[in-house]
Amino acid sequence: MNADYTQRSYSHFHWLWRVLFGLLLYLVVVIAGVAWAGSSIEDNIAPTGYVQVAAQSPLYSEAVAAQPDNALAEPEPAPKMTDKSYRRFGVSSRSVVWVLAQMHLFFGALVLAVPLFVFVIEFIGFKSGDARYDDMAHEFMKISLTAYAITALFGGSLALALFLLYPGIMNYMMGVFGAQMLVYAVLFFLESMLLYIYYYGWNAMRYGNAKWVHLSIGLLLNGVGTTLLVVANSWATFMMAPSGVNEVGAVIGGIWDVMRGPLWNPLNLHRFLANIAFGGAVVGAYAAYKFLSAKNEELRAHYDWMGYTSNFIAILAFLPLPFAGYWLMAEIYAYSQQMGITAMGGVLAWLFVLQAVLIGTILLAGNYYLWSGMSRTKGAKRYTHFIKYIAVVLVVSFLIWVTPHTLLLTSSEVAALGGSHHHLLGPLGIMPAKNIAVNLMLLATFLSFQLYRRSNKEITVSWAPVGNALLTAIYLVAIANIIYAGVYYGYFTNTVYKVGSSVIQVMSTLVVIVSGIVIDSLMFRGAKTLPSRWGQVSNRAQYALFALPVAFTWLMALMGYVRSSVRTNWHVYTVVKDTSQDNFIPTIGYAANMMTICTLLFLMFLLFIFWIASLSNTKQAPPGAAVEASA
Amino acid sequence: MVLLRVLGFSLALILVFTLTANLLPQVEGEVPVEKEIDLGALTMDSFVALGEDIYNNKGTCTLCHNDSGRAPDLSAMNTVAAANRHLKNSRYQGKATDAAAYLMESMVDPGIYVVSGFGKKGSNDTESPMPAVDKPPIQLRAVEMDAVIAYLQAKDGNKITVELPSEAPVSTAVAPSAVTTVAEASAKYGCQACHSMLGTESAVGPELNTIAQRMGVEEIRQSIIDPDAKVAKGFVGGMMPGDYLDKMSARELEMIVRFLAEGKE
Amino acid sequence: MSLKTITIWLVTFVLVLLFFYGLNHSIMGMQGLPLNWDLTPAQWTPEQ
Repeated sequence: MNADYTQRSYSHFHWLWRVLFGLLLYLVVVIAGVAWAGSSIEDNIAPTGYVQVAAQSPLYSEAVAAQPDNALAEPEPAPKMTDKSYRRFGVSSRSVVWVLAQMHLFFGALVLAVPLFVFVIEFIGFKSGDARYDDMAHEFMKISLTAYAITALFGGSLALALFLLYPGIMNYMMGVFGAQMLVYAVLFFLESMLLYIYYYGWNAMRYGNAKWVHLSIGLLLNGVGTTLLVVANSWATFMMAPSGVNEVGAVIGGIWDVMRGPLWNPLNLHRFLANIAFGGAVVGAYAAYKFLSAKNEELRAHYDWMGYTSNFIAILAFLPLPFAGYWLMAEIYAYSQQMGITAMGGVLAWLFVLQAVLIGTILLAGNYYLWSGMSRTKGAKRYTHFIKYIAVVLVVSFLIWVTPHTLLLTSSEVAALGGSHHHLLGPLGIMPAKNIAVNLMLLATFLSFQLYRRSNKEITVSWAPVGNALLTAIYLVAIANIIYAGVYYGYFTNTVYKVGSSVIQVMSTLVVIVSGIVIDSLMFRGAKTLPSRWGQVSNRAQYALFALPVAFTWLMALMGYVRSSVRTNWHVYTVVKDTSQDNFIPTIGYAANMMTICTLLFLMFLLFIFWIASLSNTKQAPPGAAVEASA
Repeated sequence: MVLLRVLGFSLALILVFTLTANLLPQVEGEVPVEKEIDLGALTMDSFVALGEDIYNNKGTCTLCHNDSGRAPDLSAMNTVAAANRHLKNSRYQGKATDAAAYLMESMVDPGIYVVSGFGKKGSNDTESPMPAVDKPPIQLRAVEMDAVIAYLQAKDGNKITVELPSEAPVSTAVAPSAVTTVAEASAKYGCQACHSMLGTESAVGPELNTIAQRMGVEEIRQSIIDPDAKVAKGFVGGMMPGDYLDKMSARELEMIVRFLAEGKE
Repeated sequence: MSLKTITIWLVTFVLVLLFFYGLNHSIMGMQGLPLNWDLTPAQWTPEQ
């Protein structure tokens, strides 16, 4: 068993590659569609804000006066927030809701994401007939199950806190979403049922036709889970870019119009991918924890492999994430340029330095883990000399990325900061340089992946030289193109071309990733597999698996702070003003402390879950056993 | 043991992130404060100063109008001269004939004329990315927009052509905020100054708490828009203003009528 | 290095270059930002 474990190639991962490939293709189509549609973004923007109103009478009062008498048939406008719309019990209401919402989101993300890849892994195990995949999937699911109860706990507390502390806005939101919230509750029950059946029915429906039933339950579970996600997303996107309501907040469309705001789908994709990356990172930490505490070689091999799989999932879901984020940001700019600038260039601009630190941590940790993992096979020697170049590219790009941004601020903010341009700022601080750096970091990470995958293979196809030449050429030209687009359009043309050229950079990176996957999978046909030894990886590499979830968790909290802050002093942007004591954007330091509190709390609960998971495997020997054995 | 090491490692990493965040400049996002403008004490100088303040803060103009190339850098150019130049441009389709009107037009309807090179991506300068400043989320009032124009004229030493808002009542300056309750409408139009309603007493006009027993919907509506058509017993005509049809929006009027006729909002 | 190897590398390199050249044109074109043959902006008049 042990030998079998450590010598296996686990080539079944091509299933995962196909899933990723599908995702990427979808992304390419979406980005192309967005670029193609251009003006159609406006069509997606609901009848609120200035876009729709621009065709009407220019002054608001005239617009209201010009309404026909039957305007009364319209439903009530959004209420004005007064002192009675808020309650406060000593501590800041916002902080209470902040922590509860963040915890609910952390666990919710985990619970929704894990079954997604568990289902894929289970399917791989089923198709390949390899029981270890099935066991691993089941073990991952155990974490998700414990987390589910905690998710519900925090969800309930969050709802309670919201209705208690923010009755005014919650009342309005209930009015807007109405029955949709009931649908959500029903889905939630369905999710619970399916989750428990899926986990506890695992061994009862393990083989033959019963396995198909079990897989179908898994599919259903993921369907319901993803629906829950997009329904909850619509609340957040409605508050950022309301749709289906008129300019005073009265509902004028159906629930579908309310949900289908301009930011809904970008956020759906972004959260879907990010959840998978986050979930992968968390179960990776579980594997690393078990690896470090493993007592024998067999367990080490098992958890090494599990950690590798988790890291694989986390990084692969992470790679397309910047592009989904780009789409989201582009839609925010299209919806309201002011909101876009608030996010990217106002008070929040410094935050992107922090984001760079976090993403840099994630990419460096992910790459380091891959490089360490290459020691599992002897064939890796052929590629190890590449690592130092990849490391240099990563580090230099990282440094460019964290170089502070050009700041666009109101004058008092400028005064507070001492100038809109940071004194360290050279040309490296502006966006084109950062775009180059980010794309190069992604390419470097993907190259690490490709090298890792090659390290245990001897390619036998006859056209291997052509394939290698093609891959090399694509890398070189793509890198040149990314640098060219960033430097030329970024520094020597106007803003419009500068912004447009970042799509060139994004597409160049995507071309490398997509073509790399295609060419690799063709070249690996009939390749000779060299032996790998699982469990041989160093202990130090396991800490990279801890760095990932810590950075992911903190990053998620950080981006939540931006997403929520771009609404500035509005509960529902342009419709319901926030008049509470906490209606300002807090400083980044304050926000960071909140994020750290949330991350620490999450970590505590996580370790508790890991402990529970191993507790359920521990059996106390019956009191009579020792006597019998000695007898 | 493993647990402690793992915990220590994670804590150290989190500490690094937290520390980095606390080393960055700490700025709080400001919420625009509604400033009460004392129209009586307003001088042209303070009006210009008000405009500058709005331009830099509440109006959020400097987010884009700076040297980043997003929008014309108004602080670096003679705005009035630029406006006059644009008025002569053959692409100009608006109604303005002088710089002040041009500036007002570009604030409330930025799409009328887009300065070359600053249009929305792909629109070839036919669409403006700028939001109308009298609408949410910026919501400048008419007085405030005038102040901004005064500032833009004054900053390059041009003649200030906008007039001080001396006679305009403050209530009209607050116009964009929609009245949503009967109490707010009553406060806006001063109903309770003469009528007993909503818990206050006044004997100047007929009491309205029980009006529903005396009048129907049509009569109530008529009494508001044409008060002297039928004067209640014991009161003289000509007391109540007759211009509510012009002042009230349809929504406000119907809200009040329904409230009086049905006793509920 | 054999002539065949050099040919393979050269041909693939040129093909990839052409592909990216076309890609740049189509991406910018789709966004309503056409380029000239030498990849300079075709719709940009440096006017203030």
